[in-house]
Amino acid sequence: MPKPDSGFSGHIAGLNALELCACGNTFLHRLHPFVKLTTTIFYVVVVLSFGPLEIGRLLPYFFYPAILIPLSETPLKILLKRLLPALPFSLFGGLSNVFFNRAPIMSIGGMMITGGEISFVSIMIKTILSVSAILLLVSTTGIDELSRQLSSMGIPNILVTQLVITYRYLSVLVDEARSMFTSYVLRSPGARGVRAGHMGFFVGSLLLRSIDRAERVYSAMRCRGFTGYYRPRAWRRITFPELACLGVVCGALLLSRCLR
Amino acid sequence: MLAVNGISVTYPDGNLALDSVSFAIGDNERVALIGANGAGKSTLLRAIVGLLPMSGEISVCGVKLSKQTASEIRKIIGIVFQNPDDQLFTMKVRDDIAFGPRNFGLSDEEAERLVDSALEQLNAVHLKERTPYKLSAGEKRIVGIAAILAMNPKVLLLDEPSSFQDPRSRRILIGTLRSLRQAQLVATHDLDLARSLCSRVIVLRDGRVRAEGPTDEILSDDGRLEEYGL
Repeated sequence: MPKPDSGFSGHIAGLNALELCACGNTFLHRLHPFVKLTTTIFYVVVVLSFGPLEIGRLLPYFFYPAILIPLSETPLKILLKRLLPALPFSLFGGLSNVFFNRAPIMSIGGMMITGGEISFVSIMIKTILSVSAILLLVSTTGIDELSRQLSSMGIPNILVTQLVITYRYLSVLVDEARSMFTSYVLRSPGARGVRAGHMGFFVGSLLLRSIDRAERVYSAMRCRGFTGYYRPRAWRRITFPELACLGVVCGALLLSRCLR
Repeated sequence: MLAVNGISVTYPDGNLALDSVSFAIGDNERVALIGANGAGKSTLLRAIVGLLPMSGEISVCGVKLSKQTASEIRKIIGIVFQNPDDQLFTMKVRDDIAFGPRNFGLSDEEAERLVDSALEQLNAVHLKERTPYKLSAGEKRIVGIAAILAMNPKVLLLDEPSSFQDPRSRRILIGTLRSLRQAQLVATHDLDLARSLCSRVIVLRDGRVRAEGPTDEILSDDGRLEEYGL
């Protein structure tokens, strides 16, 4: 019988783990969210701006996560766990290139490499780099501070509130799924997870329970004056060294993009 | 302070959850609302803060509850929910406690001051930078109360405050609630809690007030308690 905290349950419990990392106290955690958000956006735009055949030029950008992971003390295992679900989308998207673009580009040791194969690798690398950057942003900033920053950057409050509430609903869903799964496996000897035949009622019950729970959370929020607009705490002013840091990192990214 | 006059609540499925319930609570008074499961205790608390459609009249500090005054009423009455996990949803205790004051339009500095004051009042300053998910059940309950106290309510409604509590946390909780100056309506089926905290008891059964009186008098009558499903 699987342990209640392993497998599926452990996986869904891991959803909160990244945000718990945001409670750390490293240099990166203390950095103003504006610096982190702007740098991440800049990095992602630079990475995505390369052409489908420019794999060699993408490789140096692995330095960004390689430096930030130890600096932020984000456990690599947690980061990889959150990265993996994003890969199948690129995998299937990139595979179509392999089939449709068969034009040979180069040969290595007599083996012909097609344009489709190179662009497939390029898509995978871009996904890994950009999703890692976003995960690192969440693991060092947290959803509250991100929403705060988005608000102060002029993003409409209704969109920011939607983001926060959706994120919160995810936690509610995870909690309910965890307790249901524990209860399920304890009464299902020999089951490795939720059996296919039980999946319908499991998901249905999960939906009803989480709606009920979300309703209670919402009631508690209304009792504390929530009227549909999330009002995050204002952050301290950005300092000159932080602005300088932003300038240096973005400048370096721009320079690396322009170099041939 | 709090006057409830003939309120009735019917759920969409036709179930009459509360039937002409009336009572009043004075300044600084602590009243226990007792009853078996399903008696209507939680429904009553939710109706008092305007979370449920109802008939009848509720007024707090002279303000009558209506759609227009619900927000004002929620500044005066703070409700602590049965499950603290329903109440705590941010990543830092300080942000959770400041959520109410910020929603009521206070500045960050004022909200921060209220966070500190509420935590000091409950001897829980050490929890300020903690993550709610990682707190024990007793600590979550204390933070849930702090989140309400930070809004400076005049009346506190507590729904089963002793649930999820071990004996030590329960003792601390009782001491904490006794030290608060607010009027309190405590919905519970924990008769020991009612005895050690409240001077008056209201007994609910099947959505109706069946008895009301001094705690010792009501709780010493085993026959009546049995009759009320307690």
